[in-house]
Amino acid sequence: MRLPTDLFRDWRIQLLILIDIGALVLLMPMVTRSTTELTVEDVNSSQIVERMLKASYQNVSRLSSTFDEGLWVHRFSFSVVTPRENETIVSELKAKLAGMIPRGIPPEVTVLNGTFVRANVTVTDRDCIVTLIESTLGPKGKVTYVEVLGSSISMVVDKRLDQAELQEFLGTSARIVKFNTPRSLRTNLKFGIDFVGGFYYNVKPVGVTFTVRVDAGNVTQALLGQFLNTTVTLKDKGEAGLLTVEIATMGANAYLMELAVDDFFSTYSSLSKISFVFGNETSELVLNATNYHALEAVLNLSFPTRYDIVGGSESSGIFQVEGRGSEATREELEAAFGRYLKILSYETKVSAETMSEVEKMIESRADFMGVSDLRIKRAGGEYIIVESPERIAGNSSVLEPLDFEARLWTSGNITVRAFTSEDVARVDHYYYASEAGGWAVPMTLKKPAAERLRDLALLHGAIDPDESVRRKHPLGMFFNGIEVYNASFSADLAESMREQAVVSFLAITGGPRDNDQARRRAEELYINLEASFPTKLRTAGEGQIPAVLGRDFARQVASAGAAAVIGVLTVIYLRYRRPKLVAAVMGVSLSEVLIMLGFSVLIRQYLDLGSVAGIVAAIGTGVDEQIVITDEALYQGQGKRRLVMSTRISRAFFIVFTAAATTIIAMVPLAYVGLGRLRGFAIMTIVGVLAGITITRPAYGRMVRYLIER
Amino acid sequence: MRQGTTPGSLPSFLDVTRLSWKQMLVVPLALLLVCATLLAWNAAKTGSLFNYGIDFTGGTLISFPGSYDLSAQEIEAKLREKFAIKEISVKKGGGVLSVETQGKADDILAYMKAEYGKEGTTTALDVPLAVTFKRQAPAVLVAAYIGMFVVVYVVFRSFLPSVLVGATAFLDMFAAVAFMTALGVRLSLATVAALLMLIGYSVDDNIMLTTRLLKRREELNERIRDSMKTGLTMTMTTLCALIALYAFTTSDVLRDISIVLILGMSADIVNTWFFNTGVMRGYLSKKYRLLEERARRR
Repeated sequence: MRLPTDLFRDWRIQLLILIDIGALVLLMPMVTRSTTELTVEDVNSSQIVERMLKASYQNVSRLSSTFDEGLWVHRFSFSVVTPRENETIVSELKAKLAGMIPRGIPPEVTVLNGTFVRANVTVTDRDCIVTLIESTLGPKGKVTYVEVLGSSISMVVDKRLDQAELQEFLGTSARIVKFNTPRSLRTNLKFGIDFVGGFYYNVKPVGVTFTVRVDAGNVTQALLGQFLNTTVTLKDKGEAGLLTVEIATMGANAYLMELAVDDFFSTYSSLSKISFVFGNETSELVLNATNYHALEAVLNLSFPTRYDIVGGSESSGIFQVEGRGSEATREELEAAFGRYLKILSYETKVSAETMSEVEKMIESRADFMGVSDLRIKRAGGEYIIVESPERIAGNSSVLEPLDFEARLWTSGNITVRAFTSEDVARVDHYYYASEAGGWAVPMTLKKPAAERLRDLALLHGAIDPDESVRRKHPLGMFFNGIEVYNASFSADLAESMREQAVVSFLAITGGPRDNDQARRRAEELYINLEASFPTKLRTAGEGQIPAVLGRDFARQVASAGAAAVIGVLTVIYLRYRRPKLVAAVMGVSLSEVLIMLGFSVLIRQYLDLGSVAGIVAAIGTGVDEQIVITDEALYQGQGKRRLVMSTRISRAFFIVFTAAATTIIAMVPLAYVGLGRLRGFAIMTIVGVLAGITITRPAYGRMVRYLIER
Repeated sequence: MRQGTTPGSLPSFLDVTRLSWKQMLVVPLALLLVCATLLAWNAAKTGSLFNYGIDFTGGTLISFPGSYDLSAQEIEAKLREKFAIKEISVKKGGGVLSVETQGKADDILAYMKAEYGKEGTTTALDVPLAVTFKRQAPAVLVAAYIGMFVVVYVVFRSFLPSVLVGATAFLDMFAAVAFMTALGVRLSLATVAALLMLIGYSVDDNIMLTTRLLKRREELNERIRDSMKTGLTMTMTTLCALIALYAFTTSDVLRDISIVLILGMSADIVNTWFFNTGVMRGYLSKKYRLLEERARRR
């Protein structure tokens, strides 16, 4: 057979070949023996646990073995005498044990007395053998699939192992009964949980955003009138938030009146007093209250729900407010704020910034908790989809929501916000601070926050030299509005803070050293501050795909693809009876698959059922359009209206481009909204159709022309 | 390759030009009536026009693919007894056993694995998210449809042909949804994706048809026959691929997508070649007659 050399000289064909090569390079398909399938029997769990624990701990004893849901579950117990006087041993031990048996149930560790710790570890045969084998694999190796059938445990390891070496390593802990390192095709393709098994969560950051119109004068009048329980009238509104108000005094005592006014400004700290002139009938108060500050003062009323101003303009008095974690309805907001301001619009979602913050937090929290391979996607403006090979909701708290806020007591039961999680620059591991005589969490604030805290503390007397005054103004820390910490400033800290702002300090949760509650509070404060979310998260939906089914799906998709190719090519052969044309259609369609897969590697799109459906859709329209091109190219026209080849091809491309444009347009809304986990479907379809009209269809046009003209 | 008109010949039983254009319209009209009846019947039976799946109602759905051997009634009775859940319904379709319930998914999964050795996929959605989907899904469909229509109108710059392309896509979707209710396929996010894909497929052959009818110059019926050869080949290849996908997979997502497209593309044969072609034929023959008369008068 003669090679169509002039065909290869055409740039369209060259481009197609070049891009195919590029896609292949991205995919890097390789046939290797890179996995091991093995089956073991006679797993001796107690031996394995002892082997793993005995290196570090003595007196490991088995408490019980039970058969539950097809698995042997063993409980082991051992105690540790800690020579060091270090109380962090418990959390260290927990982390260490969890690291030793990562697939096991979280170990329980209890302190019996000062230096004596008892640990209980619960493991199954499956967990034991998997952990043992994984311990020989190195950091990258992983057991990807485990199945328990009676007493034998089968697994797939993504590394090539040697049977004799492995058996030697296992010793009498387990007996290998089947061992195989099959040839398999490896690519850079990333398979999503649909094909490898896993969990997904549809998470909604809880919150509301609303727009308000606020007028500083009205707000001041209402707040002040309510606070002093008298009539307040606005007399003058000056530049830059300068307000003059008249307060009906009605024979009140001048000193008490002045005190009450000062109290007002310390409660509503965003407003500031400029001058106050007492009069027997009416007093005159000049204060500084911009619309922004007035709004801040109003929003502070709603504690424990936090509302933040996220945008707006001073001149119009229109601001955007976000309530992270708030589930208030519009009516509830009207009831809370309606007398001070007007709510213009309302939505039950958080701002875009909060969304990205939440995404980042989920990631770092997963890191913090040792959950790897998490995939986070945005679904519309309200939901975040998290896909994970492990279960991450419920007990393990990657998605557990916490909202942190520190507040200072001003007078009586009134508190003001001192700082939030965003103001905390870093938190260090808690420890027992003997010099302070209590459990301590070292915290570092950002500079502006530290200065604000100093101002607040000075204003309210929280760092007063007199301890009895300081006692009245403690600092409280809240997670989701629940107090986890409450203490007044220490004499040392108060002294340094009176001089200048202090960024680093210890949050002391209490002592003495054996106060377990204080230690737990410190631990809680530390862990939650280390990775706290900007808002509550609600798991609105979740799903689970077992690994076995995922593998089935992958296999089925492959056979369906093969069957589809055979069917489509048969139809085309029956229609045209030209084997070369069939080969061209097949070649072009396969290139298209290759390009789409290569692109998925490039943009790190994980292949899931949706994207596979998208590939099928794109190939389907691709074949349709190739048929159009073929038929148009074969159509000559009649008599005087005979068409030259280039006219026929361009007419074909008119149809092809129109059809492609409609398909792309039809998929854009889905790519934008996402609808659950369907964005992959829209993206793959769009990519496939675009690759079609720019690369593969022109090349196919050239091939058809060659086949006809020759 | 032989130069001439498009290769192959159209079997005479498929040749719609043997009918008058008014006769052609009877077929899509009949299909429309059948679909409307199916939807009305479903509405009378269930109280709502469409059958919404849990993506739009909220709840928990567990699917056990490849459960040809299990009986839905038997499993439902056992699960009711074992877990004392009132709100549970077990259905079977195409070898996929699906359990719809409120909560207790983990227990049911464990039970099915222990008793029958079946693994299942779970989807759980709370009502607010389902409501969001229920609001978004029609918006996505309508936006896609409008976008498609705008492109078609901009390309053809002619009112009736564009409306016909749009109407054909609509009729295809209508038929797909109607036959879905008859076959017990629920509306889900996957089927919405399938309906979007249906817009793309449906428009493919209609654009080809309209372009040829408007641009080619030979006898009208010849244009129709030639377009049919191309269009039916297109539909056949598509159906082949979809049937393969349906037959070889057990995933409810892929099966739902493929069945909806198979239904829609089958309806598309009728809607494209009887409805769109029929109206275009009437419109064009009338137009040519007018042009001829005008030419004669001059």
